[in-house]
Amino acid sequence: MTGSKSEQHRHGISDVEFLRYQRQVSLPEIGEHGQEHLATSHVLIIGCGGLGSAAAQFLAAGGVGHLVLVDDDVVESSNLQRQTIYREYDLGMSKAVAMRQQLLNINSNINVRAINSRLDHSQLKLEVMLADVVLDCTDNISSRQLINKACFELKTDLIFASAIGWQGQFAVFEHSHTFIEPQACYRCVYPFDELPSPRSCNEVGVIGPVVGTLGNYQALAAIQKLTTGAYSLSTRTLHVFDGLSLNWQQLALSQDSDCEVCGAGLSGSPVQSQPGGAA
Amino acid sequence: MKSIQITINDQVKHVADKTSLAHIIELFSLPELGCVFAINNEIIPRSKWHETRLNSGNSISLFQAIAGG
Repeated sequence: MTGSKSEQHRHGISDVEFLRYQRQVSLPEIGEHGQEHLATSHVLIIGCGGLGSAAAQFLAAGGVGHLVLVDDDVVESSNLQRQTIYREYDLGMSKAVAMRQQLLNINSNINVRAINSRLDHSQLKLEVMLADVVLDCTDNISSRQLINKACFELKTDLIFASAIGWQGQFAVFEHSHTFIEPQACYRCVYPFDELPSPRSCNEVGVIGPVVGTLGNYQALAAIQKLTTGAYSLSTRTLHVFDGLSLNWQQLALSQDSDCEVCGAGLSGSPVQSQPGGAA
Repeated sequence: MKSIQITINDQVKHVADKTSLAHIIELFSLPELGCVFAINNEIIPRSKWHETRLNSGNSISLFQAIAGG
């Protein structure tokens, strides 16, 4: 590499940005180039609960230039135990709107757009199309299936995590590469449109640091991809976390050739939409 | 018929050699809905449950899909 750091500095980010992001810019994998990439990146975060709270804070603080937040819920007192982006004065407010404001309090130099409704299919596809990566931070399997399908169709990477009780699950579905090398999508791993109840945080409970850990993994994966252009973590792997033993288990993923979302992709033919599928 | 030893979530079981994963799920009444099965830390896609046969020493792990966030 040629040129001193100060010379590179003049060609890269501003002095103010350099000071602000110095701790990550100084990492050899990131540098000023990586920081510039973050500033022009666009991340879609669907779900502003515990996962979204954790992931969005680090993406905003780290200088991701464009964030879009989607959630149709309002902040309730039972959320405050783990959804640490919110303050008591946010109670009753739209989560997406309240989160946007808190993120702008952390970093006023980024753009944050809040959507306080559920996206219909065409809105979802539009938002996925605009995004460099998508974080699935939702709390139900039907939304997760729709997000996976849209990300597969638009060849956009999907960074998935879920948490309940003391357990967490995390995977990166690198849909931007699926058409080069077939690989598992979310539905290959979880071919379900519903789960046996009780499977929601309302019914089972969830410990704050577990959902926070999983959300932080999502932010970390996004930052790897957006700053370096690739993931250092192992994709094609389901990472399963146990918050009691603190063990992570890694399970290899392979594509299900019968998968109704990506199975037809093996031959490179267009994916048929499944009549009667989740709407 | 030759019997082999496998484990299901760390519990030792004895089954006939080359039993399919689908048959094992049936044999031990393992839950199917919302469950993910792995053999030796490789997740077996649902469409492969019938053709995937167990060998001696294989370790099956099954865990519930979770969707919370």
